[in-house]
Amino acid sequence: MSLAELRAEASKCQFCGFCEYACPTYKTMRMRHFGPRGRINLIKNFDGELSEAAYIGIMTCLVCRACDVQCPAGIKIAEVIHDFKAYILEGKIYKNKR
Amino acid sequence: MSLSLVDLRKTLGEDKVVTDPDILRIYARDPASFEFELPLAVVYAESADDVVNVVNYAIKNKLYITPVFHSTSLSGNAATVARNTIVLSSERMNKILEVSDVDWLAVVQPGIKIDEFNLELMRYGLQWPVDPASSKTASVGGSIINGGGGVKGAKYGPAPHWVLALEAVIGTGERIRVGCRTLKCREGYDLLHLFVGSEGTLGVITEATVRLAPLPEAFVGIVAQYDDIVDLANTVVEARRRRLWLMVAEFMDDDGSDLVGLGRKYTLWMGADISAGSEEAVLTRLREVAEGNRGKVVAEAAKWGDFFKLLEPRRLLYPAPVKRAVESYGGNAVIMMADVAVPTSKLPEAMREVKDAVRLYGVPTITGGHVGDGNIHPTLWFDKSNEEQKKKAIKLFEHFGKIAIKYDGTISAEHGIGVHKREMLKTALEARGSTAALRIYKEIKRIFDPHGIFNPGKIFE
Repeated sequence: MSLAELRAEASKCQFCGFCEYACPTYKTMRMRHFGPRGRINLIKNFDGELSEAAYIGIMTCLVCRACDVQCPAGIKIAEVIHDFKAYILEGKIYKNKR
Repeated sequence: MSLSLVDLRKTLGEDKVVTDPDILRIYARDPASFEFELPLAVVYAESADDVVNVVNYAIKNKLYITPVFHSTSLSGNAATVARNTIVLSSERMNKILEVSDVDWLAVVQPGIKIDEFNLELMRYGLQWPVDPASSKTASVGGSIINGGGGVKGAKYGPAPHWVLALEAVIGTGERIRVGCRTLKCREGYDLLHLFVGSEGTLGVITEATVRLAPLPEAFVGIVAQYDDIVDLANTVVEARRRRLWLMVAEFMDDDGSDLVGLGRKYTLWMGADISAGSEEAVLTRLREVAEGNRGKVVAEAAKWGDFFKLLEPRRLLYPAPVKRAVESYGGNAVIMMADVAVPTSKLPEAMREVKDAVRLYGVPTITGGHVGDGNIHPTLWFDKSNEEQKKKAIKLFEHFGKIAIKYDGTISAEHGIGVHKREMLKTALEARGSTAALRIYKEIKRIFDPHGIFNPGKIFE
């Protein structure tokens, strides 16, 4: 997916948080950016720069896809996060926000 | 970052204070908010001492605190609406400290999710019977401070019935304990229930002692469908006349049933927890009540597990509109769930008027809810970039409140006032000739929160 497609997909998020229950990294960290709701909203809000905490949140997604079936909006959560990882790595966009 | 936030980091520890702008944005809102302010910091509390430190810090530096758990509020209670706000997250406070299978109580940290808690309680044959549709994500603490309810409300009632005691940090920085470990507790004023439904405006809960119930010995239930919403409502009325104490009485209107694949009918799920051995007798009574009101029984269950599966489409009352709304409006979709309740005897007229209002306004809406306790959730969606549609949707949302007031009900059964229903609250109090109540609310807040730091803009301006 292109960045525009990733943003469009992420913008469907209604913030219900139903996806968090299934997420192994959220269960461990108990911080929103380590769960699917947080990650998707980091992508939705992405303005070309990414803070260190946001970067770590995104990169720690295990792509286990447990969240995908939980999403009422039908967002392809794992795919969006995976493709966003590729985008920021290719563009070397990381930890560049202060 | 200001110097004072450095002080806060020193007191609490580096990893508990986050000021990163990307992270702040994902803590500024809840599902009901489409406008919010960026907080100054997110603080992850891990103990009551952490909360005391943050409260003292906020008092000293004239800052606000919005306490959050998992931010599933449908009224905007968990959103940041004022500048200079610290979001105080209790999501890491998720431990079960005690379960007593004799006293039927548990002591928990408030950030534990309801399903996480109930999963553990099943080992004891016990349950915390507060089960909002968001129970996978919603916390015990959040349900208490918002007075949450759910599917089992017909028998068990909402969170206020299932809290025995709380520890909280109030706006003086003091840690207080309200309520008792016993079911009976008459020590002066009932401060415990001031906190229940206070929406984070009086203090921050740091520990909850909750009442538990045994898991049902046996359960039977039916699903019935109707051509007319009044027949469905009359079924619930008659069940009560026949002294059937239902544990679950849930419904979905024709548009909702159609959206979740049940066909264009009004659907009623109705079941009771019973003593083992009486399954067939109670099932017969349930069938009689439904069929006596022109209902067609389309499914039956003689076990809670089977009924739980039958309930799945009903649990889509929020997810189904989310799906449809984003299909229609993409990222501009907004979903608003009303939360009115009327006495059961008034359900037939009130439900008819809700349907009439939906037709009149022409805003996409499905209606479902917990008819067993008179709680109706018309759920509407609109495109926030379409000003005319948005205006119409908000008007319809308020119209549902007026219907509740007309039939001696409430504008807010279990979701709270938040920011969405502040004007409706005034209207409801005026209708009851009780505008003084709003002044009393504000005076109570001043006692618990003399510096006015907690969750500004919620319940009242």
